[in-house]
Amino acid sequence: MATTKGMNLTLKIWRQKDANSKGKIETYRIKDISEHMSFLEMMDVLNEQLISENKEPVAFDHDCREGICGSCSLHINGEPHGPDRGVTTCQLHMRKFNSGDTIYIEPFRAKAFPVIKDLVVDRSAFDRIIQSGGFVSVNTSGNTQDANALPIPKADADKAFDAATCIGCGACVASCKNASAMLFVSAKVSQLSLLPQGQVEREERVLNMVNQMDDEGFGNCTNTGACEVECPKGISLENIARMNREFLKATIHSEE
Amino acid sequence: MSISAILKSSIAKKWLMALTGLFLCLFLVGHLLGNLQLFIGGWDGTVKFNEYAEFMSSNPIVQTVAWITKILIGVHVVLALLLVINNRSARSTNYTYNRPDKNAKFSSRTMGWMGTLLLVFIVVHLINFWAPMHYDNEFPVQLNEAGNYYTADGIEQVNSYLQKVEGKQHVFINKTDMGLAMRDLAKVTKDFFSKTENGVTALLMMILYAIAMLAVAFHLSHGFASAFQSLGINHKRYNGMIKLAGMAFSFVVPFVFAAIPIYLYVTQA
Repeated sequence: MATTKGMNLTLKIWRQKDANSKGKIETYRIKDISEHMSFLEMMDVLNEQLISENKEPVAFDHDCREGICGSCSLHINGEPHGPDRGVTTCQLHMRKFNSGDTIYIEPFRAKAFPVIKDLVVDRSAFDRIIQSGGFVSVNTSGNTQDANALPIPKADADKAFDAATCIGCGACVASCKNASAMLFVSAKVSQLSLLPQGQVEREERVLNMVNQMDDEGFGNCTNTGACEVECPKGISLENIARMNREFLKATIHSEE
Repeated sequence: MSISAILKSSIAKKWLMALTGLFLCLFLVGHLLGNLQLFIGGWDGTVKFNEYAEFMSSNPIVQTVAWITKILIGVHVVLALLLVINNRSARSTNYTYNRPDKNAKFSSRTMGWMGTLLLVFIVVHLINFWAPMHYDNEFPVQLNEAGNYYTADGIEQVNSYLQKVEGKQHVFINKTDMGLAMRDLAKVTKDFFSKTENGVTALLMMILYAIAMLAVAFHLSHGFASAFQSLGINHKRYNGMIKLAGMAFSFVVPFVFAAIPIYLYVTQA
């Protein structure tokens, strides 16, 4: 592998001491970054550099680094998970940038996602939405039912699986001009409402999850489609329409 | 769920936005079909349009629908305001560097601004045409072939404004010459913009009407298809059709609206 000279970059990074402090953009220069590095590896290099200079490293969320856990976030050059499509920040490669570039790195912005420190935001609002209805009841008093005993139409199984690929990273909220969580919530509502296992709580689920979503302070949907474009898992707007239908049916029919 | 809890939810607000928006699309079709009569030239056209205007402002069913339209515009506007306030507060800190152009169309990001422009336009438009027709004592005005009109007592009145354009055939709503509608707006709105000279006002009006039609185009190019999505209508068999219908509607409607005064201006001025 031929080693060309690495990239030199100017980084404009949001630094914030803690949830109560006022943050600001700080400028850092970083040299000799390999184009083969992932964006998070570049951040690691920066942090090594900061530590060696006796400075506080930049806090950012990360875990699996293979695009399946939904931990990494970052609003990079005006887009959640950066300029590439269908990838999370950990899968974003530095080859998407050029030497000499200035890169803005900010936390996901939403009232429901308060900044904890630097680039780390509290996304537990999503957990509370899931707790409010994103589950199915399981009978624990007998033998486990064979999963294959329940016939499911192929089309439904495919759609449910597509919705289930949502990793709950929050890029939809970060990209939405209204900081709306509709794509996330609709993916979870769709996944369960399409499957026979999800029928028991079907009405209750959509009512409770939408209610929790509104209570958390997320915005409303303008159908701009920004979420769908930025979603690393390609969750479709079709799910939002399905949730709208589910909500309509549930409000008319439910006696809750 | 109680009715008030339903109405409070973000999804229900979007249904109402969609339903009122689609109703207003129907209104646009009706308004446009009526205006198409202005393409009929000559004295016959004049009389026809006047009769139509009189029918529209006296028929109780039309008047009921007209009031429903006004109320629904109000609902659409109030809901939009509530949604915008809610949406703004959902992002308390803005991004330092943001590229909304990378993931969403201009028309979808400017629904609020285009809607505001349309609201300003609707108010001005009502002052221009609707208010004088309903609150001018001399209405209904049926002009005779000499261009004069009759008062309630049946006395023939000479229309002083018409003498300036003598010898030409025009279509009138009240004393407003539709053929010179854009220029004539200056006359009608004289009181509204009393400090501005007529010529300047007319030009401003023309610009406002042109911008308003552009705003209609942008607003509808997102709003039409978006309404279906909000109502939960998203199906791969129909999505293409809905999108195409939305694009066609958002182009044809404002284009024909704008073409009428231009046609009349060119053929009659």
